Amino acid sequence: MTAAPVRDHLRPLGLRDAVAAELIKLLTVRSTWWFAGGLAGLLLLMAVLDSGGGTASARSLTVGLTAVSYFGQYVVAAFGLLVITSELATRSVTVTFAATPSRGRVMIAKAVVTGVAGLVLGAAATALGVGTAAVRHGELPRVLGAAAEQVAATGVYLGLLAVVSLGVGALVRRSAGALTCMVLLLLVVPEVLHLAAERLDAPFLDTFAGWTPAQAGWRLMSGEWEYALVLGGWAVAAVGAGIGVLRSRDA
Amino acid sequence: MIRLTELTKRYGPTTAVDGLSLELRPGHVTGFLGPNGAGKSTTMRVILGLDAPTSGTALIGGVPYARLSHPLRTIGALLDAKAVHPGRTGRDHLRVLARSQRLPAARVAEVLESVGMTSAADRRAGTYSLGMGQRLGIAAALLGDPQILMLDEPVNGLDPDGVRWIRTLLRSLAAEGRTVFVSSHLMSEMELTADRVVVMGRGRLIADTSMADLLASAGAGSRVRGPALRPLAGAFEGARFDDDGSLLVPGAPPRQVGARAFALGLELHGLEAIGSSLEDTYLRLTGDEVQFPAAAKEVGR
Ligand SMILES: Nc1ncnc2c1ncn2[C@@H]1O[C@H](COP(=O)(O)OP(=O)(O)OP(=O)(O)O)[C@@H](O)[C@H]1O
Ligand SMILES: [Mg+2]
Repeated sequence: MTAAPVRDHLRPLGLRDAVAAELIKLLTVRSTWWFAGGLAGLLLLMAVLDSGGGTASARSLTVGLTAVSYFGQYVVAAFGLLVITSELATRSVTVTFAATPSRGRVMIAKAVVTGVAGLVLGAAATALGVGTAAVRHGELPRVLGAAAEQVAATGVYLGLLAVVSLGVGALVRRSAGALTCMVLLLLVVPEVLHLAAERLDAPFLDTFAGWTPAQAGWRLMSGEWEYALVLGGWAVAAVGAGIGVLRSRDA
Repeated sequence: MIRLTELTKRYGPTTAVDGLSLELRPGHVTGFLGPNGAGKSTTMRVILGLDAPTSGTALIGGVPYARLSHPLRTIGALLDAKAVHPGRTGRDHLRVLARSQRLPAARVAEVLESVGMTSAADRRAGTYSLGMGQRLGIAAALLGDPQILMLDEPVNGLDPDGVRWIRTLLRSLAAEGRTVFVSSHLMSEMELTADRVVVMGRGRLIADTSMADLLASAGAGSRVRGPALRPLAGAFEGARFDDDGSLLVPGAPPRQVGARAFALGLELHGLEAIGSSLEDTYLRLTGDEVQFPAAAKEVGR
């Protein structure tokens, strides 16, 4: 075999190069670290402030679940959408597209990096919060297994949520507008569906509400892993729609 | 090489580029001129695949931008120096680009050095002055050592040192056989930098020619000073004396007038080129195409 060695720089560029570039981007802006610190601080604060009341069998797990559902998921949503809206706002997306002309490749690279970052930061913050609460309430050896599962599930939820938010950012294009949409999607839409289900006596609307990202996320974090598929569906749909918009519009 | 064929770009009711056909050849600095809103930046955005043309094609070495396997090694562009994340340092901005093109990381330090930004490279781009941002943008364009360079008003905001540097740079890049396409509103600078000229007005091509031909077609002239210039005036058709006693010789460059004066044995006190600078020629060419003319002189009375 005398195949000429293909010189590294002559191989066509691919998704790996785009992912590597996006990773550098993420690690070289302060906002990433603000979000990471904010999320961890939030979980830690909830763990420390929690009174320990109630009769839950594993108080520390409840702390993690509520901290993420009430506050943490919004921090992650803001983190995810900013990955694209900050570039659209500064027009630096033109530099990105000049380097990587394929809109699809750019968005998939962003989704990979944003998703993994959401997963890692989400899991780390949850481990910090739940761990602290468990130590405070003296539950540690007993809840360790369940806590580990919750940390993993929360990581998966927040990773996928960050990707959903990224897609919404590409769809809406503005930070403020995209954040509004995410709050509607996470908070308002399921409430409206529940209300409508009650008023119209249509229980299938309750089912729909259960498939919205925040409620699917709650169930995932509670150990119903099949809801990861629902969130995965949301992520694929949001990123796909985002790619469609980026392709159809002038940069 | 860049080839535009019947390129048209409309934004709603505005036709920014209107049936533009153009070929940019290697080995030349092509100056891209035209009034505000003529469609220069739009043309460049379409070439980079940032805006989709309404009709027509823009090809780079025969393929559309989106099909380039190594975009930044093929064509380096500076469209908008402000299009940088303000929170990222100049060096990190270039690191991202280098990695996206699988360029060696050492290339970043090289281009930073060559644009004189090494000392500011670790500051956040949001703190850069206009000229520093412009230098960073030029560094990004040079990063992939591309055969084609396309710069939208790169001289904007550069200090005199930077202006001279970029003039030398662009000319040497063209001398190496690269294609250099550069827009500017600074005619005197363009006259020194470019050897080909493309002029646009209201989205249409007005002129596509060499700088020498453009200036010659407008007829360069000379202004001569001296104690006794009547014989010289007789030697050139159309020569006439100006109010201050100097002799105006339209259509003849100083080299030609000086040679004739020497042959006639005349004493000269001054000899300079006048008239058709690129600025004059440009203004004449685009006079009808200016969409945003300055207000009349009476303003402010
Ligand atoms: N994104 C856009 N949406 C709508 N109109 C646009 C857009 N971009 C450019 N135009 C219009 O297209 C025309 C050409 O603009 P362009 O920026 O290409 O001109 P230019 O030659 O670069 O001008 P200048 O010398 O001022 O930079 C203008 O009328 C401008 O208003
Ligand atoms: Mg312009």
